[in-house]
Amino acid sequence: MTITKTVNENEATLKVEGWLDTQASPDFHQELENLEPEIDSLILDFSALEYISSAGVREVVAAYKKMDGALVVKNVSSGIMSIFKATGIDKKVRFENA
Amino acid sequence: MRKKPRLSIIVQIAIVFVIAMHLSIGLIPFFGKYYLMKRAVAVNQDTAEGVANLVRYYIEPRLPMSSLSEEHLNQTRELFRELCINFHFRYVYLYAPVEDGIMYYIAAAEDDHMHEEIQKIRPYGTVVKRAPYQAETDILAGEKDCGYQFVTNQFGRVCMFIFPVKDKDGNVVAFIGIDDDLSDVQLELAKEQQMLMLAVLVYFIITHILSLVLLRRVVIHPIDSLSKKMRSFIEDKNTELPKRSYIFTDEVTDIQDSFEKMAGDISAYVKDIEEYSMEKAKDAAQIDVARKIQSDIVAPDFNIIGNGYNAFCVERPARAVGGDFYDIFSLNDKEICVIVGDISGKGISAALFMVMVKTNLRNYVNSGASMAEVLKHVNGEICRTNSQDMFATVFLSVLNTETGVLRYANAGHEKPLFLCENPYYLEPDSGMALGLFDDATFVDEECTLKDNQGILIYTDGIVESINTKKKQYGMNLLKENVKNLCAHSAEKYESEKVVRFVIDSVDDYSKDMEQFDDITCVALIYRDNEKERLLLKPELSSFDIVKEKMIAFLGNTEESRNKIMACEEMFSNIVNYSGTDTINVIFRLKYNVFAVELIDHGVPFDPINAVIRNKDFLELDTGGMGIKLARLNTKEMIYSRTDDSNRLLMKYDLPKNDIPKNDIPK
Repeated sequence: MTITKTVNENEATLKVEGWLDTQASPDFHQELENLEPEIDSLILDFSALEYISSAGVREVVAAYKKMDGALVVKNVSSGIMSIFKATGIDKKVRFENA
Repeated sequence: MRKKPRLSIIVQIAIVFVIAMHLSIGLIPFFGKYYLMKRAVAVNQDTAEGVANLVRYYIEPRLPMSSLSEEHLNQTRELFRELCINFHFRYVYLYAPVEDGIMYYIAAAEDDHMHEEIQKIRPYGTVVKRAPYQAETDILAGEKDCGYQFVTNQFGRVCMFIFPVKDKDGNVVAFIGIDDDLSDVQLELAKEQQMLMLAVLVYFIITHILSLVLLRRVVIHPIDSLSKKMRSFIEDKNTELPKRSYIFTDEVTDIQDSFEKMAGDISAYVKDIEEYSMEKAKDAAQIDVARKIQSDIVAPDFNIIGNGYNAFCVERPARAVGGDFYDIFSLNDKEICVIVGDISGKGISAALFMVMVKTNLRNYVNSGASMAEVLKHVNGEICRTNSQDMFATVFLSVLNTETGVLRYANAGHEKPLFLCENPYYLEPDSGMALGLFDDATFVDEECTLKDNQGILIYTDGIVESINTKKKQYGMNLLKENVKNLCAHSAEKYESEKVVRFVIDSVDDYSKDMEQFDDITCVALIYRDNEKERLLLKPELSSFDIVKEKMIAFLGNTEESRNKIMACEEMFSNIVNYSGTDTINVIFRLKYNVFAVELIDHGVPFDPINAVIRNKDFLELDTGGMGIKLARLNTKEMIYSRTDDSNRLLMKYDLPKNDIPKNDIPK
């Protein structure tokens, strides 16, 4: 998994590529922790995300909580979307497809 | 057989009657002649004697004959002539016996012409040569005083009465011959004969008619009705013979009585025989039906190769209908049930009992109860209905063809042989034969079969087969033989091969001996279809290799990655919570199903039945979604706890265009 971070004023974008599995989720979690305090809006670009496990889903929820809901998940593939739907994440988190 | 011409008794009697009549009529003249002649002689003899006395009275004082003058001779002749005419004799004459014949003295005839004629041919002193008549000889000998002789000569047929003429001293010096004409007598005779014949004829006819009537009444009619009865008896076996009444008993009524008794006896016998035959036929039919039912229910042999197992059975009854049985059937798409049982006793009752036991077992195994529960339930059912005090030993087992877990329970059956590299007997709780005690209890047990391992279940007919030395085959020899088969076979166990080998070895052992007990042998071999097996440390990083393997099997697509996710969720669950020291991962490929099994020795945890609390969204960052995601992304998950291990089997459908060809069953 690789995470590419871009910051635009108070809005950060994390582009996640590869597998966000149980082993990788601590890294993702660390990336969230490392976000600057002034960041108040987060965009997760999952266009290159191949895989997500429940640990990854958990991190998305953690990000949502950290941003107080100011989270947009973009470009989720249908396979991974089914996982978000199955866990009920889609009811709270805003998903956008470009 | 050629049919002989029919001649009724009446006709036969009529023929006999006609023959008898002809014979009688023929014989009447023959015998009647002598009878009537004697009568004629007897009637005329008195007359002739009177005549003779007159002659004697006249002649005897004038003897000897030579002293008679011509005048005396003529007077005498005239006297004779008058006697002839008056007393109606043909001839009267006086003669004396001389050497070689007789000499005529005086002769007279009744008829004028004949009188003149006789004087010419029989003048005084005429000697005629002839043998002396019997009557003459008798008189000369002094035995008789008179006699007669039938004579036929030129003078006609006559009865000649002969009387002696004696001198003063009593010597016979001459004979008086008096000829009585038989022609008259014959006429009389003919008339009498006619009358007699008529009488005889009438007599014959009357007696025959009477006897025929009697015969008809007493013999023909009863015999006729008897023969009708016999015919009707033969045709319809009618034993109800019409009653008949008779005043007297005789031979015919005896026959009737005998026949009626015989018919009654025969009817009784026939009835008995028919009933017996029907019984026999019914019995035979029942045995046939029982055999048919049994061979339908318990085929002589049965071969089944399924997904993850192969099984083979041989059932060979010692008699037509045996007491052994087996049953092999799929409970569902992953479990196969194998039952082997032995019914106490043999024959139809055992077969019927077997059907009951087998049906009960099959029905109840399908209910999903544990093996011991099944046995307990069936035992209860049997005890409730078992009036014959029969019982059945049963070994009941169910193999999970995905996990290799063999669950079993024993009801007094032989210990099964565990088939592996070094075969050994399982030691199940012996249990209690079904049908003995309604409170019997049974123990659920299980073992896990590895690939190519199996179980051999048999009946006592195998181990109790005896050889010519009366020694039993025994469990040790069975084990050794199977072990040797295993040692000599580099290939995998094949259930058919094992069973046939066992049966052959038993046959070989007990050759020249009659099989006295049913023989049943079932082998069930587990085929893991295992493709790969990993032994991993309980670390999250261990899943990398699992992931790689799964990608190899399933490909790296969006769909397959979700499947890997499901496995990862369960794997990390084990890593995080089980406390196990190792995790076994087994990959299997069967048909179009790919399966991953996770085995750990940690604390028991059944993710299938675990209650998942629905968390609030904001709590989801603490976890609790894994099991749900795993369930959603697998075709099926199966959990079992055996050998102190958690076994979790996760099944996935293979991508549709990617079914490995070598795993499709033939």
